Amino acid sequence: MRPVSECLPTTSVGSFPKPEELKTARTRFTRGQIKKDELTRLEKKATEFWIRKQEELDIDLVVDGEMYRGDMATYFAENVGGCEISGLVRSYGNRYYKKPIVTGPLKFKGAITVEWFKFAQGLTDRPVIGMFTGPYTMMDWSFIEYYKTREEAAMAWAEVLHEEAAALERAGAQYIQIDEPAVSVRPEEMDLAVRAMEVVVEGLKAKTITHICYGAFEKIYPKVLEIPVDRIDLEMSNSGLDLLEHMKRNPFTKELGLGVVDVHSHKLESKDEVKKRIRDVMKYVPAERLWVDPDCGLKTRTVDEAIEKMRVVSEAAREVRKELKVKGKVCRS
Amino acid sequence: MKTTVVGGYPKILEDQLLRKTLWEIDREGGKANGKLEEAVQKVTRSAIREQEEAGLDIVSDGAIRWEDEITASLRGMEGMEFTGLIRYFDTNVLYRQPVVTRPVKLKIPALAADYSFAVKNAKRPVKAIMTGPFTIAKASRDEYYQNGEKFVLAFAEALRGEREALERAGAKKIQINEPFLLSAPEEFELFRKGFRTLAEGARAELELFFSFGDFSKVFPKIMDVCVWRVGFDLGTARNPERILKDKVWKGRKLLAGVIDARNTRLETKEELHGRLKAALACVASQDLEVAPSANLEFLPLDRCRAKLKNLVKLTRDFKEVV
Ligand SMILES: [Zn+2]
Repeated sequence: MRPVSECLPTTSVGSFPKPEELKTARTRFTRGQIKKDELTRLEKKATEFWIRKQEELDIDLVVDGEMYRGDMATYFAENVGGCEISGLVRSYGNRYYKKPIVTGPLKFKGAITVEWFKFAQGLTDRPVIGMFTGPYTMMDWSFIEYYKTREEAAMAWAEVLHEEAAALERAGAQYIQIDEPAVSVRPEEMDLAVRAMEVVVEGLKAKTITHICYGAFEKIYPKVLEIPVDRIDLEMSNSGLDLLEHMKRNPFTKELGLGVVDVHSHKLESKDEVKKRIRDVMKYVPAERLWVDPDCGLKTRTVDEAIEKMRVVSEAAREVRKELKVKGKVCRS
Repeated sequence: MKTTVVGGYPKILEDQLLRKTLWEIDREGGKANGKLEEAVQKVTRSAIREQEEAGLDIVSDGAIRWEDEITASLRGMEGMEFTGLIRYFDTNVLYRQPVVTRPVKLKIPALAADYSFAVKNAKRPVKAIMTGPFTIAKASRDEYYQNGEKFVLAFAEALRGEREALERAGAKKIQINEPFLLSAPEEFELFRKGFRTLAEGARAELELFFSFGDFSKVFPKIMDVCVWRVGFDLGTARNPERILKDKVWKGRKLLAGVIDARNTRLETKEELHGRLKAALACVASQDLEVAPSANLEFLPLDRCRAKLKNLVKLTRDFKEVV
C-alpha cells in the first residue's frame, strides 16, 4: 500500500457527486426500467472514475465516493434487521431522505459496505477508507418506535455497527471512518455518543476516524475529544474558524481532519484562501496530525465543481508542505 | 374543542410536483419562472384539502413556500444575507443562517399573499403562522446592530408590518412561534419587548406557540405577555399536567400540542385522551385547540395523514365520552 504524506496528508469526507449517467440509471432502476446488474455496473464505473480522479489529484487517503448509496441513514437501515424505511422527509431546501423507522430489535444481517470497500481497494494502491454512519447518528436520524429511550436505540445500533467495523477490518481496511454528523446537536448526549462509539471500535486495530458537521462545536468542545477515535474530522470552513479560539484554551489532542472548502457553495475557494486556513490551524495542531479535506461529502456539488474543490485541497496542502520543507522540516510527500 | 395544526405540511404532495419543478429550475440554470408559482399553488391547494379532509377545524396554508422556519418570515425584508447551513434545534433539518449586515427593513410584506391565497382555497377557517422576532434574532447573526435588544426590535418592527398586512388581508388568527425562548429563558425581558413591539395595536388574535423545549421554563410569566392564546408542546414540557393545573389558565385560551409531530408512532387512545383531560383541567372546552406538536414536515406523508386522522378521531371520541 502506498504510504500517505507525513505532513498534511489529503483525504475527503466520503461522498462525491454521482455522474449524470448513474443518476438517470438510479431513477430508471426505481421505476423498474433497468435491472440491478446494469445499475451495479454503472455504480462500479462511477466508483472507478472517482478513484482515478483522486489518484490524479494526488489525494493520499481515498474514498469510494458512495456511488451506491442514496444517503447516510437509509442505506444502512435498509440492510439491518428491525428497520423499516419511511416515505420522504425533507432536510433542507429541496433535499429529502427516507428516514428509517426502528420498529423491532436491531440485528446485523451481514456486512453492508465490505463488498464496495473491497472493490474500491482493488482498484488502487492508495489506502481506501472503510466507512459507515455511526450509532448515535443512526439513532438520531431514525424514528424510534421500538426502543423506549434514545440511549437504548443508540447502543443497539452500536452493537450492529461494531460487526460492520470488524468485517471491514477483516477485509483489509486500514482506516475506518464512523460518521457522526449528529453528535454536535445535543451536547448533553455527548456521553452517550462516546459510549456508543466505544462499542463500535472495541478491539479494532485500524485507524479510526469520525466526521462531525453542522454544529455548534463550541458546545461540545473539548468533550468531543473523548470520542474514542484517532482522528476527528470537522467542518471548519463553513462555520468559520471559531473553533480555533477554543483550541487555544484546550489543545486538540487527536489528529484533526480539517475541512477547508465549503461543500454547500458553488463558489470555488482560492488556493491562497485554503493555504491560509491550513496555516492558521497549524498554529494549534501540528502538520503531522493535520489532515486536509473538504468540509463534508461533496455529493451536492456537480462533478466538475467537486473535482475543482478537491484540486484546491490537494494543491494547497502540497504547497504548504513545500513551505514546511523550506523551513527545514522533514516532510515527505 | 377544536383541532388544528401549528405549522407546515409535507411538500411532496401532488406526486412531488414542487420537488420536481425545483429540480427542473436548477437544471435550467436557476431561473424561477411561472412553473414554480404554479407548482406552489397547486401543492398549497392540495395541503389545504388534505387538512380539511382529515377533519381539522382550523387549517394552515401548509407553509409550502417556506424553505425553513427561520428564513420564511424574512422573505419580505432586506438587510441580510443567508449563509451557512445550521441545524434547527435537535432536528435533522437545516436552515440557512441570516446574517444581518444593514438595517432590517420590511420592503414588501410576503406572508399576506399566501394567507389570502389559502383563504380563497379553503372551506375551513385559516390561521396565519409566522416565526417571532426573538427566535429569528437568536437564529441569526448580528453584524450590524451589535446590540441584542436593537437586533430583536428591528425584526419585531419588520414583523409588525407583516402582521398588519395579514390583518389587512383579513387574518383573525395569527400564530407566532417562539421556540428559541425555551433555549434562552434568561432573556425573557428581551423576548417580552420583542413581542410587545410586534403585537402593538393588534386586531387579530395572536397566539404564542412554544415547542422544542421545556415550556415550564417560561411558565407562568408568559401568561402576562400574551393576552390572547398561549400554546405549547405537551410532549417536551416538563410535567405538563402540573402546568395545566395552574389557576392562571382560568378563562384563558390554550393551543395544546398533543400529537408528536416528530415520531411516526401513532398515539394510543389512552395517551391522547390523557393529554386532552390534562388540557381541560382549567381551560374551558371552547377555549381549547389541539394540534400536532410541530411542523408536520418532520413526518413522512403517509404518517402525517395517519396522525391527523388519529387526532381528529380520538378528539371526537373524547368529546362523545365527556
Ligand atoms: Zn458532514
